Amino acid sequence: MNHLFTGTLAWMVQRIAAVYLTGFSIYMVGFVLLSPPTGYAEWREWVASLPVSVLTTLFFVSLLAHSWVGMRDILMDYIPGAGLRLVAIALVGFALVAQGLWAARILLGVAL
Amino acid sequence: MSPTPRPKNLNLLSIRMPVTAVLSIGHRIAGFLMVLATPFTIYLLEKSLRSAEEFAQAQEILSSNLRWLMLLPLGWFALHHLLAGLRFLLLDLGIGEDKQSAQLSAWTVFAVGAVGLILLLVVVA
Repeated sequence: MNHLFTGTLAWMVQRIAAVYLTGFSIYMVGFVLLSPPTGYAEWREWVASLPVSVLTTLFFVSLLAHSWVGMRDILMDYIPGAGLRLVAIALVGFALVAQGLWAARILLGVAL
Repeated sequence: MSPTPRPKNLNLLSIRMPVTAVLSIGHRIAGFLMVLATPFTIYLLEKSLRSAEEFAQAQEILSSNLRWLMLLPLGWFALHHLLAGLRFLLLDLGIGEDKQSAQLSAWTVFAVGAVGLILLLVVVA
C-alpha cells in the first residue's frame, strides 16, 4: 500500500494547477492592462458571464490545491513534532477550504 | 567505544549559498506570503462586485498608498514565483539539470524578475 502515499499525486496536482494558474494569470494581466472594465456594470457582467465564472472557479480550485501542496511542503519541512505539524496542517487546510467556500459564494452571488 | 559527536553547523548565514538555493528559498517565501495575502484579495474581489459604490471603494484601495505596500510586493512575488516555478517545471522535465544550465537559468529568472520589477514600478506609480 506504500505506493499510495509517496506524494506523487500531490506533486502532480501542484504542477497541473501551476500550469492553469500561469495561463489564467497571464490572460488576466493582459486583459486588465489592455481592455480594463470601464465601470461596475461592465465588470460585474463580465465576471458573471458563463465562461469567465467557470474559468474563475477553476482558478480558485487550482489556487487552493496548489497552495495546499505548497503549504504542506513548508510545514513538513519546518515543523518537527508530528502532533504540532498535524494541527498546523489541519488549520491551513481549513483556512484554504474556507476561502474556497467564500470564493464560491461570491461567484454564485454574481451569477444568480 | 563512545562515538564522537558529529560536526553540526546550522548557522545558515555562515554558509555560502549558490544562486540556485537563493532562488529556491525565494520561490518558497514568495509563495508563502502570497498565501497569506489570499484572503485580502478575495475580500477585494467581493467588494468590487457587491455594488457600484463598493466597486469605486475597491478601486480607491487599489490606487491608494496601500498599493506600494501590497500591490507592488505581491505583483513582484507572483512574478518571481511564476518564473522560478516555470524553471522548476523545466527541471522536472529534465531540461537544464546540469550545474551550468541550472545556474544560468537561475540568473535569468532574477534578471527577468528585475526587469519585471521596473515595469511594475512604472505601472503601479
